[in-house]
Amino acid sequence: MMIKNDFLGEVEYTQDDVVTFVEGILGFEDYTEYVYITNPDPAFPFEWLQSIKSPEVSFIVTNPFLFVSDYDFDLPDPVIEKLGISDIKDLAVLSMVVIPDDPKDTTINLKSPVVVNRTNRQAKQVILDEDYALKHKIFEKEGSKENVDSL
Amino acid sequence: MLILSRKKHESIIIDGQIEVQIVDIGDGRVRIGVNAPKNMEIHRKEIYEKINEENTMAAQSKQALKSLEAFVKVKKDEK
Repeated sequence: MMIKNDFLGEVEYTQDDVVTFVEGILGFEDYTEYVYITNPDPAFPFEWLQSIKSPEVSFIVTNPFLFVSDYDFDLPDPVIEKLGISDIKDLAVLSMVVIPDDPKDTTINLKSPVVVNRTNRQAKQVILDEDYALKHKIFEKEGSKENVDSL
Repeated sequence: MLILSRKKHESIIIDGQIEVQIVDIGDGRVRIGVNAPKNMEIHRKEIYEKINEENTMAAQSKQALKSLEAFVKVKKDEK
């Protein structure tokens, strides 16, 4: 199957690349099926969740651990149930990326990550109890080490 | 919206399974206790609104991806 991505052009995908949100993303409840599109360039770790129903609806996401190595949280019980999680190793965590006019102020949402159960490809945006930032600046120096060392 | 009055320590029960109790009243705020099944999530309303807003911004970010790419490239070249 093909989907048109603004950045990469026509992208081929299979059912294995489709992520189903058990509850729609807040504000986008009508869209539950997304293609998870990875970026072929490893130096630019920004990927997409692109809606199949309306391909113009897409979210830029990234792996938060690339920017916050000690990102750690407890998965709320309701989420474990809703996603059918049996093993913590089955989980993938993605953060929504917000790119403002000046890209140096790019932020990721650590407060409500997208959690995907890789075994059944069901996902949910989870609201964490932990006090993480809704807007975590990824290009700001984390103490004396720059977050973007890994890029 | 259903509006009821409750005194301190009184409760309401929603759908036979969620209990909302007034734990304390005073100082311009009410302390509320909620007993709900484990599979239900409970959050302050503002957090839903903020996340909704943040998601909407994230959905618009694809337009700025090229400028982010240029920025990252410059950063790499600087090293």
